Amino acid sequence: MSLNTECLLAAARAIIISLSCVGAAMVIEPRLRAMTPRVKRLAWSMMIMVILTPTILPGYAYSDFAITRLNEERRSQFVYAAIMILRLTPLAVLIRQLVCGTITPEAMHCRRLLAEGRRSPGSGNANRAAAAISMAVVRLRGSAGPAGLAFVLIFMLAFTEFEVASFLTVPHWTVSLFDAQSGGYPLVDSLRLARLPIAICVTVMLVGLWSLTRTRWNPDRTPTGTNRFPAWSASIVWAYLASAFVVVTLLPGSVVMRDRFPGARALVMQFSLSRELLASICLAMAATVAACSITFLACRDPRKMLTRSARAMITLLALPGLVGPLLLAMLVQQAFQLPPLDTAYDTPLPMLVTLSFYLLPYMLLLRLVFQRARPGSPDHAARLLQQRQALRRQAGELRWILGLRNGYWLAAIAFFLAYFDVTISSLLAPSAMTPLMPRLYNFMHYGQSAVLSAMICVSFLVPIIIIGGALPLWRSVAIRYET
Amino acid sequence: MLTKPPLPLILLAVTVLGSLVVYRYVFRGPKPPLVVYCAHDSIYSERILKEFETATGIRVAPRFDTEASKSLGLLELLIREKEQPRCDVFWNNELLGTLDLQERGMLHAYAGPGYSRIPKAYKDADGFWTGFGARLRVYIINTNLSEATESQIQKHLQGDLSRVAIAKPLYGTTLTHYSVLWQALGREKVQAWHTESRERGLREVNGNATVKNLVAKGVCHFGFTDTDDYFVAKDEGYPVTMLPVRLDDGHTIAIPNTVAIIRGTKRLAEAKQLVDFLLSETCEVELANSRSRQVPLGDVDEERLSAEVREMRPLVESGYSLTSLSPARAACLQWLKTLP
Repeated sequence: MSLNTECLLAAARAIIISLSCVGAAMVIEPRLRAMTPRVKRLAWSMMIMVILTPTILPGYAYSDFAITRLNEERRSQFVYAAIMILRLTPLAVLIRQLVCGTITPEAMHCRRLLAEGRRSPGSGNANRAAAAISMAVVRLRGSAGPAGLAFVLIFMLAFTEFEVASFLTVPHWTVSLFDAQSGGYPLVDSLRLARLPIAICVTVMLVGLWSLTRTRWNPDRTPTGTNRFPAWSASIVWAYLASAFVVVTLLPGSVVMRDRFPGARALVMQFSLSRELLASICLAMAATVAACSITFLACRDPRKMLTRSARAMITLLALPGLVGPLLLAMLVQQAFQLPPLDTAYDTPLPMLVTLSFYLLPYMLLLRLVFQRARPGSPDHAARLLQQRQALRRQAGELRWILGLRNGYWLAAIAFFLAYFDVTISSLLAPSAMTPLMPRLYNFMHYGQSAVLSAMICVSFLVPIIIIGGALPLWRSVAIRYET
Repeated sequence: MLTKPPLPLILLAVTVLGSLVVYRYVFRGPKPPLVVYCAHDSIYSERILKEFETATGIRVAPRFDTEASKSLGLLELLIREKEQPRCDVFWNNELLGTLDLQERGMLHAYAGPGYSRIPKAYKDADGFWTGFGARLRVYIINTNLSEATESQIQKHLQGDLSRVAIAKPLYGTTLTHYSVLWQALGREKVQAWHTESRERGLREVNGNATVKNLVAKGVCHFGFTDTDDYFVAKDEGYPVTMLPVRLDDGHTIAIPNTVAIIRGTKRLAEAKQLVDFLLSETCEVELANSRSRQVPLGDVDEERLSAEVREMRPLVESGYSLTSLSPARAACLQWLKTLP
């Protein structure tokens, strides 16, 4: 299959995945919003775990399944699409939760009243149908922005995905392009091969930009606990959550955990990947600080975030990351082979630059929605309280709960994504600083083993320990700095 | 009144500078490590490189390739870095790529003690590269699904190939295999076979390890791979056996590892030490006794070798000569890159 054919197939698959995720989110999100706070927290916890499960984990876990089912390519495609739909639907739910269309529910209600008022008594079915179509068009215009934004984000993630496709041996342009580039094509030729994928990415991003202009950042929230749905409809949400959690997180995790003890002793005796682990931690931390710093600089003042210039700047910062890690790494690699940047080629800089740009779309989006979700008046009141010495600690803790902790979660997600990156690390890691994930990814292609499972288990625990350990320090710095 | 710069900006500057400092003093160290680009499977080669570190105290920074792309990826990287090489020693898992580097004038000649123990057929006359630890191209056969005889294999190869696997020929030993056929059979025959075998359903997969997995798990009846991958499947208890791939004149395809020093290295003395280490009898015996069962090319005490490796030695000795294969490889690769 040619690269262009694989690209078109990937685009078609990404469209199906995106439409499925957006459709599922339209069903799940309202029901989720209507749940009680405790139940909602449980549901969101499961969804966050699904989002944050590194892609190599389900890829590794299901690679054997893919091999034994290789005779039926359609089945592999179906399994791959199902995993991606389960994994990415929470993103669509998140976007629906945090942004809304430019037409408010009140405006829709007024429009409906106006349409009913214009209809004369005894008007026929045709008039009623026309009114219904008119309302549907208005409703579509109103919800086009958030739906478009969700569609674009999920399309980009599904279209540029690499690791799971490689493990499940599903034809994908990213796998072929990676093989071509690292397998002997000069970089310029590889980029030339990627003309069609780049064109598709740019087209979809333009749709995303249009969608941004059709969104508002102040979502209308249904009061918590007000449940206008029948009792049985909550089962839809739980059915999705259970499927996604089991397929994407639990089953792959159990494959790894199953062999951790038999593998652990052999791991200690056979391999020492401490240096690679340290490299992964250092590079992920550096990329996290860089990406979060740029994000905080770009989104400092919430009052200015609604202006066109602010949105344009944020979009420009996010664009490079949206082409996907493979194309981005190839472009940066080419740039650092030209003077004067070539002197920095064998340093962490190329990888740091690429990882930062890769993280920026996620960070910018989350930063914006966290800012919008932050309750302005209570936070201001708490800030004023912090001026009083006697109440400083309590006010600081109150501000932490109201919104300061969002910065911590932003950094935690960035660290997670940077730590588990495979593509950028494979292409750009400096010679004495090889990160862990490319090594594990390479080992995984030899097949599953107890030692490898133990390695994966250790490598997954480390970022969780680091993120958990950083919380107290982050909290004290955030409260002190925001004074 | 001066306003303090925003904290994120300070953090950004500190991060960039800090990463360079950490890299320089923690990972790279005051004395830069010996950079080795290693195409041989890391699960075997890493242990040997660590032994070299222990024995000599010279720190090694290996760069491995992915299973999917193997030596050609590192090769392209070396060529791109030609003006400012960062690699000191190239440990290739085959020969032809090393020949390509030699033709580009990128290698440094060295004929030390290790070089002298390797037969002429497996080394460059001027010492630009030296071979060691060879593998054979073989058919790996699932004995539950197919008879493991030459006649049965040939019969399968004439029919439906949907249960036969081969690695992508752009890289590694499969490219060498193609290049041998190109020289032995001619361009037209190879191109015709490639095209019609795909039409008959031949599965092209990412690497020899994937071929091994497909055959071992019974998805495919047999496939083209190397002896080291076959032995992995055998050791894991899968119902597999192997037969050497033979040309019409009876030659086998034996592919040695090769080691070469990169021209422009700033650590020539250390690079020479590593080359001698890799070409030593100890190293060849260790590769022979590893799971990969690589066949020693130099003189070794046969008592130290397993029966399996001793059986393969005559097959390696009847290997097709690869030293003049460069033009065929170049032509074959150029053609393969034009394929969709």
